Amino acid sequence: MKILVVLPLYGGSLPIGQYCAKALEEMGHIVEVFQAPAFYSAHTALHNLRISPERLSEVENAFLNTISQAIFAKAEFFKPDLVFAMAQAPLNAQTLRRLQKAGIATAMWFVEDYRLFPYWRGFAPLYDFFFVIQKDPLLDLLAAAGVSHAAYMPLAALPSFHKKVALTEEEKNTFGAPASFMGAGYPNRRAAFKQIKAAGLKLWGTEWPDHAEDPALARLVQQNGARISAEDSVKIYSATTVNINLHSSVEPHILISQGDFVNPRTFELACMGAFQLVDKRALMPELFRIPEPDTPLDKALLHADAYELIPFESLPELQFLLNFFPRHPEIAQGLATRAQARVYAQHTYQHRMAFMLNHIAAHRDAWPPSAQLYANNSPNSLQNLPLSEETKQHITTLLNDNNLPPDADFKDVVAKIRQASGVLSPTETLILFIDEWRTQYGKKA
Amino acid sequence: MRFLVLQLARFGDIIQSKRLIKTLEKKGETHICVDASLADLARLVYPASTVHALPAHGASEASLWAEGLNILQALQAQNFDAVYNLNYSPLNRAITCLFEPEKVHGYYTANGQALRDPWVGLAFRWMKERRTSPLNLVDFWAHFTFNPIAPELVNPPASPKGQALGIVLSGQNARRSLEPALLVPIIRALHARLDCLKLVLLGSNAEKKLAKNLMDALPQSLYAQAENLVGKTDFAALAQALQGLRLLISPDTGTAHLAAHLGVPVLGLFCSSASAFETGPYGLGHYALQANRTCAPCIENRPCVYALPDAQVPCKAPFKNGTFLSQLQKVTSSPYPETEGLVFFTTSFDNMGLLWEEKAPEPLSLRNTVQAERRALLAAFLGKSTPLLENPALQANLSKQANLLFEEKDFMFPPYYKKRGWM
Repeated sequence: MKILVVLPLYGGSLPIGQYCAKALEEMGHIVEVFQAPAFYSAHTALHNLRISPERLSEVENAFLNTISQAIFAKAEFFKPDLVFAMAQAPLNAQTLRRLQKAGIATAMWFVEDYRLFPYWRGFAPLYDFFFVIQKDPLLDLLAAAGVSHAAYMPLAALPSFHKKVALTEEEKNTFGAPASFMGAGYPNRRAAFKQIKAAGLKLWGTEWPDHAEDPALARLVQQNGARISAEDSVKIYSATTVNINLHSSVEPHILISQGDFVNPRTFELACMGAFQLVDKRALMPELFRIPEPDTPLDKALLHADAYELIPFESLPELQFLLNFFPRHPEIAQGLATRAQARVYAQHTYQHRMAFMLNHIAAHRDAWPPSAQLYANNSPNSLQNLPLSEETKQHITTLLNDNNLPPDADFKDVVAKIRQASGVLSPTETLILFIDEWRTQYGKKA
Repeated sequence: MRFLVLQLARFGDIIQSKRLIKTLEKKGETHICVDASLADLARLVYPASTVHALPAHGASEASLWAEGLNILQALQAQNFDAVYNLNYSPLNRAITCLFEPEKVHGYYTANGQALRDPWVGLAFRWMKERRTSPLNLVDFWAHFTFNPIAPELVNPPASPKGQALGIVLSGQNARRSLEPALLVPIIRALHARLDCLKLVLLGSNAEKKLAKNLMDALPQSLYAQAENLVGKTDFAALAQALQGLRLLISPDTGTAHLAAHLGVPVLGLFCSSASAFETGPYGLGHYALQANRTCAPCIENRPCVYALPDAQVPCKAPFKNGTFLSQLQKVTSSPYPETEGLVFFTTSFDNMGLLWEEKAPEPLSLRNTVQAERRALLAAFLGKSTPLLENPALQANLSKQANLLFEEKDFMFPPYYKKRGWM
């Protein structure tokens, strides 16, 4: 299937979009990614114009309209079966309507808290499919807003990326710690980490207080509060003994927000087999085996083998667990291993993308509109052409390198080659040439 | 330095690439990739270059699979310093993927995105007003490279090579060529004027029927002198036949360009579907008669705007009027013929290349003026200063032409001639 993944200009949904694109590719789909982040610096430059806010707003709208038109042009050219947008994708209403008119299915994965991002009301009805990370009452609200196909789709991890990495001694020193927290300094986190006592605690990420504001907390912040890349996050998780994962809240007085959705870090840490202490969430029990409500913490720890996560519900519980696990690394290891197995079995981005495509298939007529994913023994496969041994050999290498089956359809091979960057090999060039030749002379294989 | 010219178009296009190819041959080792059916022609015209024959048009898919890989491997292995892709064709564009985009001039692909040089973009804009098209195709392609050889060095000045009158029949598109009933009086007039001793009919297999019709329409005296070589010549034999001509009469054909390459005088007969200014034979000493209609130039593979059959299109009518025929004897000498409904052109050169200048009915007409202004602007675009651009009286016109030729984005990036580099 041909899928155009539209990334946002920046933000938390950006890496998730990249993981989805990678997962779809690993599943064998032909994926084009609209790299909106490439336009982000131009957008930032607009904000340095020093003009009236009214004019800035006009210019900004015109800019985002141009980006949206570029996405439509990309869709026109690539002819995807599905345009899959991440939250904050720069797709305006006009482009969504044009895509709908062109018969291209659109889906958004709204990986945000609907309570904090009210814009969904205007945009959700413009998508054919709208996937969310929360359930009640959001699904009812969406139905009331006229969204016909909304579905719950929790976050996940990407095993090919979220895996422990070997680190040099220097990296272990830099990224390692007995306990770490990786994430933005939301008000609840600032308040929580002022109270937590953990030897060697490191805080990673942006939006933490500086020395002037809070010298005690600022001392824990690494790399001067710089933005941490996804690659470096993996290094931090790999090198940390206890990874603290506290869901964010904008309410400084509610340290443990007891919210519903489970954040990506929960899945990522689990996927890596890294041990984590995470706060309890309403939707957690259906995603991971955790102790029943009201189970005392000491009893839960006694039966830790039965669980994949033992979440905390209060700051004292977090402090208790922070003291407990360094003395019981084998229990921590057992939990991490079971959580990892659960992610591998049910919570990878491949699982989510398969769910999404199945959901679309169940609710959309004439789906998929183009060829099935690499129909076996396609009459248009390269295998069925009378090729010389040398050419066959080159083509076999090409298919292997591109993760394509030996009997992949010619058009799928062409689409894959068109995505390649840089100089192409003679074999790739020949296939593109023959594709153009078939278009020009109307010949079919 | 090692260069590749990708020219997968037709007979005439291969020869019209000559100013570019001769320039590159002077600068370094030159390779040309052409359709396999035209490889012999390319070798004939460019003996100093290496010719790569790619089965592109009229080939079977099996031959593409069988031969394509070796050819593409050979092209990539040459590690060219620059590649000149001359055709706006997806086939060519696919081949450019073999090379680093920054080495490809003309039309190319970078990371899957089809792109074209600003120079080519400019041509697309001036082609929207083909009537005042400012550049011959030979020069358009030549300026893909920096500082092409002088136009005088491309082809020898035309001079009579023998006493035969050559006639080219073009069957590729009937609207392009005159029917026997129109051609015969022209042949008779010129045959007499030039004291020709022989008539030679030239063309490919596709024109055999046309040739027979023309032979049948010739008066007995001319029939006896006529040699019908249509469909009987390969490129070498065709070149040999051209070498014996006093003058070649032809619509816009590859044979006319081959004659220009050999220095054989050509009289081009241009109906509306082709423009002498754009694709007339290159060099001094050639002539063209162009139907002067407001609908010209038109696209020959689209129906005539008057919805008439090919034989009755109005741009052919001036070729049969009495004035034209009586004046035709003056074709090769001054004073130039005055012809109703036709414009008579001869050639000259300027710093951009070949000029087809209107000699009659109105020397230096508005069309020539607009073309001159446009040429000056093109020269500036390529980094060549032209005195005309300083003329105070022309500033208003130049501004108008600049607005038509250039896009806003041309003002927003460094000049093209700097960006292109000096290769």
